[in-house]
Amino acid sequence: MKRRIELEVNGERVQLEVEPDRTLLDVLRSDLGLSGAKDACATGDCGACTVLLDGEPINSCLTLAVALSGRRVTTVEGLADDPLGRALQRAFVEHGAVQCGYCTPGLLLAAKSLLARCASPDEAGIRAAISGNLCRCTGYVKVVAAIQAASQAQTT
Amino acid sequence: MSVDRRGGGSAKQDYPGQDAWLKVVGGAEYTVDVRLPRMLHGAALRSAHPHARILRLDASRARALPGVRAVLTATDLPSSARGRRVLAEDRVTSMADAVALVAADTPDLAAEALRLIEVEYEPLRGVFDVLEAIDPRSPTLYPGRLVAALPPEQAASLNNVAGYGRVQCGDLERGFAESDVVVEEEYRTPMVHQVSLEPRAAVAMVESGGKLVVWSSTQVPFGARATLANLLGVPPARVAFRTGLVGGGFGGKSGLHVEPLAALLAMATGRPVRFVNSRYEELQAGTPRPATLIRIKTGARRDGTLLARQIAAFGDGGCTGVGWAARLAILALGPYRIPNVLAETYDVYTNNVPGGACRAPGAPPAVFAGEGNLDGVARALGMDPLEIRLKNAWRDGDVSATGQVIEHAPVAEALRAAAERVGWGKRRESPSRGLGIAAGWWQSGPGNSVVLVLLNVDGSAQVVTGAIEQGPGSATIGLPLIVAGELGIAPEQVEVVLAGTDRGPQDGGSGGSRVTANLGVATLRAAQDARRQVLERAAAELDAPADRLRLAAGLISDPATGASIPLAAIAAAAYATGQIVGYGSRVTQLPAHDPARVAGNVWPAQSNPAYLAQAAEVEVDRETGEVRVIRVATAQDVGYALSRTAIEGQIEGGTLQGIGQAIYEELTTSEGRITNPDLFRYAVPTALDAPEMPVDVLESRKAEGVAGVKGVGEAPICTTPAAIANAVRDAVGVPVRQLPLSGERVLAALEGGSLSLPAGQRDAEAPARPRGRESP
Repeated sequence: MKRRIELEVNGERVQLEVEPDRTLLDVLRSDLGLSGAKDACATGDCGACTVLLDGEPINSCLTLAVALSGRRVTTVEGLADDPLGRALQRAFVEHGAVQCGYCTPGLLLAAKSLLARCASPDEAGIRAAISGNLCRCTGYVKVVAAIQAASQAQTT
Repeated sequence: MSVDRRGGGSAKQDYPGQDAWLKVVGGAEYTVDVRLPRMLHGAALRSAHPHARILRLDASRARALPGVRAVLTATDLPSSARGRRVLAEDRVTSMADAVALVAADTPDLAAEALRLIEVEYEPLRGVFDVLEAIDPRSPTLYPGRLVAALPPEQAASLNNVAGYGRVQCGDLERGFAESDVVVEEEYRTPMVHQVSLEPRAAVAMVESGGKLVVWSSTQVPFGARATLANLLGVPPARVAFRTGLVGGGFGGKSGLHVEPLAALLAMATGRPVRFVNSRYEELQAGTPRPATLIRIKTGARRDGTLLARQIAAFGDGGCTGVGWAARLAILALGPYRIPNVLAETYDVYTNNVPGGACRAPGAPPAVFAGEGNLDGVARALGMDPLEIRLKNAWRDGDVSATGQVIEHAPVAEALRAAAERVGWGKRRESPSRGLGIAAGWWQSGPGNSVVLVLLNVDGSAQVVTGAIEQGPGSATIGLPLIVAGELGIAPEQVEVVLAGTDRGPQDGGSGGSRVTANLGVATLRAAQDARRQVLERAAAELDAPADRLRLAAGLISDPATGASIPLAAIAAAAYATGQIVGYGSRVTQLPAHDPARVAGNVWPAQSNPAYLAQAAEVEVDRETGEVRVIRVATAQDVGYALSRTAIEGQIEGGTLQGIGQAIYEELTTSEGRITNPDLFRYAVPTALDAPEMPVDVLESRKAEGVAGVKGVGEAPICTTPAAIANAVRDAVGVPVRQLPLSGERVLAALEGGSLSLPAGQRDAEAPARPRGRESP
């Protein structure tokens, strides 16, 4: 029993018909071909499914798509649409913050949300903002350094 | 020996690798992203009991569900796959055992089909602990299995032994007799899981020509192909693995897991089948690092010289007996001179989930025991734990207990560098803080690699390899740097083609920290071969001897005449007569050891090992027992540093994973069932849990360039739990001999210790008897 929803994804208006029990994560990946967000736990514990909803990070694995009519979703594929997103992408690449890359989309979006609301966070603030994104590869050292570099690039 | 202290943090790296940009724009494709027309979804019904007979299985209702395209049980398998633990036959021996497989139109339908399969079990008594399992009164899980090299008197008194190994040298009794102090202890470690962010995944499809194609998250494509083909009873050339980017493996993807399940369902349905583990399945039915129990006894002279060490080490291999115990001996002995040794290791069958490879298999538990026991000896002698290590640390030319000749071994330098980083020997900031140190060694794994370097028409290059990239950058960062260096072009002009098994040459896979040292050297040789061909042709063009020509910045020049020709021109011209293709291979040999000193299932030597030391500073809350890690400093020998940033990335990540295994991580079990199969209860370190992790890089083979590279990725985790445990011991005065170092365990150790004796003195009085679970 599908329901029609209309929402904005990465700046584009999208119309979909979805069953009410489908998650935003599944709709993004299966219906819209946006495979950057990942299903790595399905319980909201790892952050690999993180997307921005009206600029705030959410676990798309726990969010029902039907509840999002009229809302604005940003995924990693839409990051390059604005300077802050691009600055973060460049900083992650340049500072060795990307290893296997599975957590990277979620981390980038959490970082973007942080820097959009706080231009110069301190290290503790950065770590708190990304504490919902598990990374098994990097130890977070260069991730934090990249976010600091991006925030400096934005404020200078 | 150069010790590069420019520790990590904000330095920009020179070359980030071709996949980094792909990953930050959301364009990286992993196995989970593979979508094929008419693709079905696979799921496995796993055993409801850790040990049981299957009395009846009825899948008729599942088969009748619309949208279910196949239900397979053992009787549906080809004969080559029977009796090989793909699907349970008439008995299950762990809760990871798969009993039936389904393929359905959607994941929800597949899950519903599993619920419709009726299985009637007769539960049998299970064993869940190594000491219980080896007890002759326990059930024998696999009667009639013989264990090579197990001495007859032990075979008569030990039950459920799957493997036995022994390392022996010198005269153990005399060694202990000459010792002024002997410290005997028992250490325990739990199962811990790799928890790569990407779960195990496979998509299998039978092409119209009959070839089975498998997209897979495997770390070892050629090994996976060989095993899968054998399982299915088909020639290896009829199976192709399409591999490339992997979302972390850490050993968990080095064997077959979901690939046979997807393949069998694809063959049964004639359609592509996707099989991806949920996180629940990853943790509940994965192949974690086996739990261990290690008994260790060390004797030393009053001046700190180590004389003797005896080890009995047990690896809980679960239902398959894969306990990785063969490695425990040389890893628990550590990088030290010990003339009299007897180390016996046992893989044990239990009804726990099967054991598997996890970053540096065997090492963190073995080093936890070995380095903890060494601290026990130091404290019994009233000796500084750093000093006792410096006194006994290997130097080049020493010989290990197995007869391996040690070379390029800067153990003392690493110890000093790590100790200095944490202010060893300086006045303690507070009485609740402690410092600990541990040294270790880890291989640059063996395995063969063949590489082709193709010179494109514009002078750029392609590296064609069967390798995968699971994150460290050994393939996507290391190989372009090596080729670029040899051909005088920029790394951005080198494309790495991760070709899988049917579109490129053979490779030994990503594991054992082997890639840069093996594949990298093969790539160097291929690039050198290409370079030689380039210079030959340029020599003809420039009418100059090839050995006089220089190759840099895309230009071949003759310094004698000033004449030059672009590399691109040579490359393009070659297309008319035959494109320049360089070939390189590397076949590795294990280093020599003395066969008389080893018996049975033993890991006798480590090839081209990295040596390291880690020092930890912790703060312990004496009321809660909670351990806060303030910093873990690593000083690691990488042979030759190919990419500083990538090296730091491995050491920082490995150290934090080690901190996880030291403080937070443990798969809890109850009667064979994993009771915390989710990422809320199984605690993987977050950004808030990461302490300072300074890195010092040593280069013991710098003069050899790329040929001197040592593996980096696993060495760091070897010593982290040990360094932290030793720091806890320093802080609170009593050892905690069980991981993880939870508040409860630290408090229990504090309460178990005699409060009337000052810290340190208690250890000197400890008699030589096993500790086990009883309080001393």
